[in-house]
Amino acid sequence: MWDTLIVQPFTNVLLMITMLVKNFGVAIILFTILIKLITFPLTAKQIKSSQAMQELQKNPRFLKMQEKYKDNKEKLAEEQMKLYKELKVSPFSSCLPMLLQFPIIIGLYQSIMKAMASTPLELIKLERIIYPFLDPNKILPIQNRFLWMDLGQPERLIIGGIGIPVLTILVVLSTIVQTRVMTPPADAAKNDQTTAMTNSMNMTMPVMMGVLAFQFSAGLALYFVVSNLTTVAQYAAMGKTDWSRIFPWIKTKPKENKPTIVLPDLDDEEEEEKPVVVEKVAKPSARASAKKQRPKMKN
Amino acid sequence: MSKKYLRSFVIILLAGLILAGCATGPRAESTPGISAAENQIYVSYMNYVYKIDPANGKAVWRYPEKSSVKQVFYAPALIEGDSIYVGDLANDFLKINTVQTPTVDWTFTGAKGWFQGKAAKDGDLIIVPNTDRNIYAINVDNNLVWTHSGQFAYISEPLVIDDMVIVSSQDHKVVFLNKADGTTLHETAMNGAVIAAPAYDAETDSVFVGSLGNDFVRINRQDGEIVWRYDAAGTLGSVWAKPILVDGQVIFNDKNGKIYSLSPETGLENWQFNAGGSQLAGLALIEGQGFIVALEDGTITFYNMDRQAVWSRVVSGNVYNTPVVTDTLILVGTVKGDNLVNAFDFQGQPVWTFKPEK
Repeated sequence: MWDTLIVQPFTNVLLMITMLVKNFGVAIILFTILIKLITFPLTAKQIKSSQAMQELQKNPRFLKMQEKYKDNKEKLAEEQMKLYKELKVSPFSSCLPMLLQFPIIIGLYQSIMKAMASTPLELIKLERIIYPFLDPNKILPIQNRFLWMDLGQPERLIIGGIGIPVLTILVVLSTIVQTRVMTPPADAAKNDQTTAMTNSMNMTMPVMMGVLAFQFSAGLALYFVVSNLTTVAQYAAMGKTDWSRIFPWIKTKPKENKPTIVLPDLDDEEEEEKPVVVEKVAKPSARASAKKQRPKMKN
Repeated sequence: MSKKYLRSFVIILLAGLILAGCATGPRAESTPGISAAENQIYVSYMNYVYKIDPANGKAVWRYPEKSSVKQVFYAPALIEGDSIYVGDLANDFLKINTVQTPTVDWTFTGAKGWFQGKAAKDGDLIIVPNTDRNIYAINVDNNLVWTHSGQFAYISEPLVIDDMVIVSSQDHKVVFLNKADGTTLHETAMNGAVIAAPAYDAETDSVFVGSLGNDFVRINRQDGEIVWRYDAAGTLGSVWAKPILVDGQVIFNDKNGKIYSLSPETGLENWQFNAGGSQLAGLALIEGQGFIVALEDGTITFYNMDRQAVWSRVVSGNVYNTPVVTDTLILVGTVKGDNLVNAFDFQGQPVWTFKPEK
């Protein structure tokens, strides 16, 4: 089922691209970008949802609520849920697009591994999943030489008799860039467990990816690099990239994003009476009207 | 050093150590490499090469004693007296002394790819295919004599005839090399990748081989010209295994389950029949009696030369390897079966099974 619906079509598309461009390395690059583009709406939704949640959690009213019910977790959860419902946001809305992307990412990885068949048994299995119109006899085997790499073997560029793992270095660097782009800057004021965990993850991920790239075939490492860079490009395209987090000498901040959620800082009693305004980002008129409705800040 | 940097350093160090501990070996799925000669049986599978007692199927020893995740063996060992020559997926090719406990005499480390195919030996020269697109010729003292480079991974056993080395290439051709220096004498184009090793017939001085491009040919060894090409009137499937030459016939099978007998001289069909299932393993000849057909689903059938099925057995798992025939045994290797090797006598009676200890 999984193979028929995901891995087989992916592998065939990858092989089709290989036939068109006559180069398996280029095919991996194009195929990864293609899949990333197809899943971009999901990625965009995930980014927007997680940003909305971050904004919400920084809001004084939200913080006040946490403070008020800090000794009553049940009540806090109840109030938070009420607020989420009121604002029509869900703490899980950023998870769903991510969950939907998982099978695609896993399928992409498996199809690349399958196409790089290097033993007779793997060739047999690959031959069996190729659609008849592609003519396996003409496609097989795949030429997995790309630049200086053998895509079926761990990559090393031999310079002066020393094997330098160029692709591994690129995987580590691109993973650092990607994690920095994806993770919001830690709140300096906060030194909680979540921040510590995020920092640890930011450091562990590049090391882990580097070890995988060092040990596994170059084809997979190539996929890691392209995937990381495409993700960064997607964030940049959405104006969510703070380049100064990656290149400290750049002082620019990301494009100021219009808040997706505007919460009036109200007392609990007032909350009951006055509706909360959920602002539509794309419509300036809605924003203007939100401004009008926003109550004046109390001293 | 500030606290922050010290913490980062410790985390990275720990992550590195943990991941190094989780290090995995080469990612490859393959079949057990079985070889038998001189009353010795060896099986290469996963992290070990096993020496098997032909009498009872027990492991006499295994090499290495303690496995390494990086060292994976699938290539059948070449047996030569008290030594075996076997390559691994850590890009090493080893000569192992097998007198009592296995000891490595030498290791050839000049390759950049995996050793998956069995080596061939002729006099002092050992010729071994590698997935780094090279064929390596090494002498018995572990000196590299020559290297022949191609465009695709070499995975099938080379054939040495007189002063010539004949190699199947996945680059849709058969390559004839000069044994002395590895230079190309001639090449013969096929319709598809050639995975199967070629078979040689001294009477016609020809090589017989099939390809994944649904063709089967006779090639004149002297000039590389195709004498005839057979495709069963367009119905031949891909050919994955070496043919057998017996009683003035060349017999081979295709993936679709058909077995064909042709005249080596003319390529005319003597007979063909459907064995009833997908076949990727080749036919195994039992001299003077008949041949064994191993279907992918684990059905093993012995046919006499009149194509009558004499006996049939089913083993657990899938069969992709050509069964190996010794003086008294038929050895069938399986993938995803209860046992790795199943041994039968020539009457089809199970003699022993071998399953590696965990």
